[in-house]
Amino acid sequence: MSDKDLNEGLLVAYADGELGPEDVALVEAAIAVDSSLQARVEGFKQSGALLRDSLDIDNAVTPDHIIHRIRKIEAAALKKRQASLAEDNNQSPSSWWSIPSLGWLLRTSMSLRPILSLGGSFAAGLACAIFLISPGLLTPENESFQSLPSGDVVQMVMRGSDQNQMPYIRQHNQNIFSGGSLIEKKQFSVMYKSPIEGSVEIFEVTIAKNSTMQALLSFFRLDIEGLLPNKLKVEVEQLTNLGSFMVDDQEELSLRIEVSNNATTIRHDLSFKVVEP
Amino acid sequence: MITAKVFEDIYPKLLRYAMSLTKRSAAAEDLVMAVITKLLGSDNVPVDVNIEAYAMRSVKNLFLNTIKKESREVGEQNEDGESVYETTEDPTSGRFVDEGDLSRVLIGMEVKCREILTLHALGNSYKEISEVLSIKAGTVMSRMARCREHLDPIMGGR
Repeated sequence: MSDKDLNEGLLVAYADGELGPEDVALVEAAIAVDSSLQARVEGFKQSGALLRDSLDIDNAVTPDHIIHRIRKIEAAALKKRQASLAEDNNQSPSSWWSIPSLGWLLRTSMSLRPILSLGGSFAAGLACAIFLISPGLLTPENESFQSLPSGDVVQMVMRGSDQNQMPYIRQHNQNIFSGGSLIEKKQFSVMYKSPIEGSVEIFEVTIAKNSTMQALLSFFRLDIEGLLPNKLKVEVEQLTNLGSFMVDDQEELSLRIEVSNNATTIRHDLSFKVVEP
Repeated sequence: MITAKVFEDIYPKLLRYAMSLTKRSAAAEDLVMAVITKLLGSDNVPVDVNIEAYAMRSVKNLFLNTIKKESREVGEQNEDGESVYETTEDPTSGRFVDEGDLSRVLIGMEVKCREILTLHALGNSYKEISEVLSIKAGTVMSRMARCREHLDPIMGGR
């Protein structure tokens, strides 16, 4: 940005009443020295008034036919939501399933091939994990979290990440934090929402006993492209189902999720253990 | 969850902003209704969000996605949304509803100027504009100054 741009920018912001006290003082000092600036400010004030007067948005009304259409859209959305709730309740009476497309992801994920076995033993009682990755800076959905019956959630601080941040593990209506136990032999999902756009890699992290050496094994990889930029919550449909893997009883699984683009790389480590009742 | 009432209230602003992008009122209406349909059907709109800014940003994203898609369909291998956005100028393609001097000047401007001036005219603060357009505060200021200068020729009579 050139000095001229900056000065003009400050002047227009001053004219529009958008500056903080420090910048106001700066501009007023500049005007005191150079009276031609005052004329610029007046010009900006006039053009601002012209813009606001021209639209007169405060007196704009939404036409009746548009109101009618919006209400119809709302009714249709409610109907669709209720229908998918009813359908999901037939399968599992939990709030987890109330997100239709997540339910869809969970159901379809059954057909996914396990990418890599962990520990080699695949006796009965396997739990299947599914990765759901989406962009957007999000905290876990506190609403559903708080609505859980007490005792259902084992709260632990996720290793390597703040408890209020992704990733976290979810089994139906339970959020299972690192170190928590999986109570039932059911599918669970690792929920991860990336703060950046980029390609995603998931590694299995094997921690050798008595050693801090970590062996990173590329687990699987895919590129997420064309997703929305950060800070924008996205449609559940844009969650990407990356694959599934299996964990046996008593097994501990550590994963590292890396999202990277040209500018940066973000890593999250998570680990959890499967404990059958 | 957002209700219909919210959109009934902010529709005129959304439409006006959409028109600054599309220049055609019919296309703007389609764009806004598509966003409303999407947001009313979504369980994922953050609870504490400024819904007006959020919806405006959705309008912009949908607009950009649409022109990206259209440009791909006609074979332009332009992967950069911003530059497609720059090449959408077609002064004869439509006009604002109002026929005053201001509208004539606005319609001849690049889309970046139309949208920022429209957002300002809609009463948005610079902070809100920076959120909707996903640009820095300093960029809002310099762009606002540059675009406001286009209005100078019609300021004489005031």
